[in-house]
Amino acid sequence: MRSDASDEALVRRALAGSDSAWTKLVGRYQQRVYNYALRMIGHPDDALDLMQEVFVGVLRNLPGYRGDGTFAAWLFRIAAYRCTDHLRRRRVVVSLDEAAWDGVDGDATDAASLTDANQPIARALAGLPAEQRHVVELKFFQEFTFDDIAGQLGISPNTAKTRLYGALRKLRQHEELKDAL
Amino acid sequence: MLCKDAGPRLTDFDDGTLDDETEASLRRHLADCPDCRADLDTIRRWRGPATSWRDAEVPSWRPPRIGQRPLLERWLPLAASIAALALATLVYFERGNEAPPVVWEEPGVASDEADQHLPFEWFDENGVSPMVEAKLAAHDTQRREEIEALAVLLLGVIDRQATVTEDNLRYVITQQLAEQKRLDHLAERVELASYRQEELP
Repeated sequence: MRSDASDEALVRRALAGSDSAWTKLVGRYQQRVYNYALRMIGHPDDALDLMQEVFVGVLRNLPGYRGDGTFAAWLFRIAAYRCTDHLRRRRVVVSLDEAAWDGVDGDATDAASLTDANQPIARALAGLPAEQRHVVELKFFQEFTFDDIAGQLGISPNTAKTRLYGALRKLRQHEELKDAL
Repeated sequence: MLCKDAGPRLTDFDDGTLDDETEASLRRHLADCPDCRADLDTIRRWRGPATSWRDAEVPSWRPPRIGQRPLLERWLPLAASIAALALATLVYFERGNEAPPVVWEEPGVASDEADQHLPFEWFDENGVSPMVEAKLAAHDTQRREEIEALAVLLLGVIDRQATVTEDNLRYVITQQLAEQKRLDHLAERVELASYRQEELP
């Protein structure tokens, strides 16, 4: 059935010029990518910007998708790259702001704009360095394998495991999550 | 097994993807190590957020569309095709105003009226020259390929330029921040020196 077409079939049709196939792919992943961006960046406006950047990147690189892994893993490779770039750019801007006005936390999450259920999770994630947060996100929320994560972040699977281990040590301190989860 | 070896394996343990020997070794370690058990508990609790996180609705937005590829990439092949077609049409209509066919006269060789025309047909019965058409088609293809290659090259140059600009900007900002720190440090030292000066008898 068309509505159950695999990602790979939709990619092939999109590459042949089918806008409806592309729209279907976007519809299938937009919420996942938006929430990924929200957890990684925290600010809804920035998350929307990042999601747009991700889909522009996906469309641009679609001819390069060879189908040797899942489409989701490939898409999140682009998302991880764009997200890292976004965080890097923001750090530069925040560093400039800090030079003029102390007290700006570049990685702070705009938790007030999130729902009550999501706030403790967002706060706990915001307390992690970006590279550890990325591994937690890809492992626990996106449920990728360490091999996938290694490919997405350009690191070895062992480094991914070590980063996750480091993140867990910090997350243990968030006792509030015990009640929230 | 030590904690430093056990820690990175806990997620695989929870996934059930460890080999039997490692799993047994890790089980023995967990039985004796409350710290690693706490880590495992954290992993299991963090598997929860994936389900307890309430997905936020995506705000209204306009996704990029297949037809919205960069202007250059999208229109150049078409523009090249139109230009080639226009050229071919122009040649076709101008042909009616052409001078009579070129007369081939070898020096010193007498020829009768029939042999004065070129030894091949310029135009078919519809007034179309197959040779000219073939040349135009080949030219059209070649031009299109050249323009496409140029467009790809141009996009590459733009991307590289953007990266270089960003790197330069980052370098300038870093230098400015470092300079600012140095100035702050110097100001502190000057201030300190002035205090000491005041304290002197």
